[in-house]
Amino acid sequence: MTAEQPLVRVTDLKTHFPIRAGLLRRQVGTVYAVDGVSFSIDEYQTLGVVGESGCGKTTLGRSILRLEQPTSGSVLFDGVEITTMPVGDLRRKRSDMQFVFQDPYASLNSRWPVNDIVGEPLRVHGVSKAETKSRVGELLKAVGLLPEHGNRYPHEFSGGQRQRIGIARALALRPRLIILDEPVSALDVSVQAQVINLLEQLQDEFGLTYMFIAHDLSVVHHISDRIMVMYLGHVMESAEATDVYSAPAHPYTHALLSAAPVADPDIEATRRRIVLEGDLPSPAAPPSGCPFRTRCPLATEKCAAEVPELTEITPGHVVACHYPLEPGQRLVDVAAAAAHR
Amino acid sequence: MPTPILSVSDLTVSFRTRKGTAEAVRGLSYDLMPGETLAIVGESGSGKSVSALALMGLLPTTATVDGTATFDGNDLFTMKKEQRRKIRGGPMAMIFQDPMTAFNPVHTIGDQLSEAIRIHQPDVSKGDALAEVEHLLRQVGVPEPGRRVHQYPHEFSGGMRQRAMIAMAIANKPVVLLADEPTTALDVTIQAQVMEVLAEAQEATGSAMILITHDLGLVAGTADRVIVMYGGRSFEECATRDVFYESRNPYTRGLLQSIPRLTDERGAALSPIPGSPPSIVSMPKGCAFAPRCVHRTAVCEETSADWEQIDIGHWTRCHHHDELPSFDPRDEVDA
Repeated sequence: MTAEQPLVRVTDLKTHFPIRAGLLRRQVGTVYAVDGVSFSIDEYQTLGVVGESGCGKTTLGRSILRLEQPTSGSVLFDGVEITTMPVGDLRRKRSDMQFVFQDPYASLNSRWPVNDIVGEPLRVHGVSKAETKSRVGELLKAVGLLPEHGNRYPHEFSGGQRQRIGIARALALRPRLIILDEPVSALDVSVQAQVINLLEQLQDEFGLTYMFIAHDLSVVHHISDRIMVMYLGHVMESAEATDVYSAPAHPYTHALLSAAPVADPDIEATRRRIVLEGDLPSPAAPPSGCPFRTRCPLATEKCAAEVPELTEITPGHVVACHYPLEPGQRLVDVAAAAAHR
Repeated sequence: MPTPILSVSDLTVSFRTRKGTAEAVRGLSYDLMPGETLAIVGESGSGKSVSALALMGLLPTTATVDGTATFDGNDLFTMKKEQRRKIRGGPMAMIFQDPMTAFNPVHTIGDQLSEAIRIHQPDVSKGDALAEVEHLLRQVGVPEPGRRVHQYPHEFSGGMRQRAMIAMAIANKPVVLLADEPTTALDVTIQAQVMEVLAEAQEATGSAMILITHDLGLVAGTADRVIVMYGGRSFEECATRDVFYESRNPYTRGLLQSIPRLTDERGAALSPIPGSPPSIVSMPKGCAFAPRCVHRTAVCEETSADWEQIDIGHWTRCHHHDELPSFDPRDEVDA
């Protein structure tokens, strides 16, 4: 399966934002939101992107669809360069690439009935009125709503139903890639699972490729084939979902896994949590060398001086760390040994 | 048997709305023992936060509170306003979800925390209060507290603000701490830090804590006992282990089954609860959970079940609690 080209190939993508101040709006600094990210997504696969606030995961998703203009680097979608494509071509190409937003309350126009919301992309792309109507009915059914829901307004729906409407709209143009930005984090626990199941079912039904952005590792682990862990605009580790969970190599991945609470008192009682020191640094003033070194229990002078390259440690498993952990090693033990030395 | 520090009985909170009266909390009763951590778990609209705000006397005037809440021998709901003010922020303190809106943006952290101390201990001088604030900030892990006391809330990161809020809550050595979603707005690595600080603060003051949360993971690691709320009512109450392994309530079980776990088989479907939580303005007639429940029968749609004790310290609200199949989410591979 590897002979085929991936649907998305991102190479050394950077998206920086200027910080302007003063009367003349002179640039006084730069936010390095995405700072040299490379990865690819194969067709019909799901790439999960995890990280904390400010790690650049949302900007990365938006940059791929050019909802933000990348500063440099390349995004190939099905072999076609997106970052430099003329706007007219890009607009047509966007029918292949859709975005689902986090907040189902803010991302739907409250003055439009659901039929218009879901049908808008079809109208924009010149589909006839009659066909739009029948397609909207099919789409609502595909996401588990009834065709008569189409005459209602967003405020008449619960959060989970609103997210279904957002998904129906994203599906309208039969895209190949959907970028989902925290699609379930605003929903109640009992409703989250419904939307996750729906996304998995739609992926099979329509042959979709997903990029699933979230902060919750257990949700990402559930839905993803591969997981990419980001920190301060950089990729820290990327591997098959099961490897990230069972054989994490980057100290930050270890810390993330250990910090996430588990809904099982027996597990909670026996495991040792690694509590990271300090706050996340600002992406406007990232540390020298490895971006994680200021909070890493294993950091040495080398980490401050040299940026670790993303290196393949086993097939398909890449990590950016000078001191990656072996499978089975626990960060607490390695950190204790390092402190002893 | 020790006496409870706080005893809530038949607490009912209703709001006047344009569409009539909406009951956000319906007959909630529980005892809080000294030093214990009691988690109140529920989804949006379950009434978990409203019940805490009622105890603190922080609800808007459109709310009507009925029932009793006996704290230290006195009923919070009937005592004089002045007496209540002495309790609020003193022996009973609250930690809010969003520390950005809980602090006043135009006063320094030091001013706000020292004011909190001097309201309850008027004979402490300003200088001594500020010194105490520095000590408290150090205790909750705020670096350079001597410099930080002169900063404004916006100069603190989210995690640091939440630490400052914990410092304020423990400033007057409370016996009851109410923490309403204390880490929901924080990143997961910061959440781990703040929960650790909270546990230390609780240990240092010996206070009991009511932890209000939607996150069953947080409950598993911190709480001694759990109350599960749904549609304004308590649905189950028991020791933490029992809620996870011995639940006798279909809603609790449904919640546990809908959480994705890191140990799940890749590709296995989750088992969500169908439908969505009810809105308080259109509560179902019988059991609030009946429309979403796989075990419902005609009686569930007619009347809400009684609050029944089924084992020592284990209460549930379900017409069919003794007919439910055995359940342990650890056995679930795919249901």
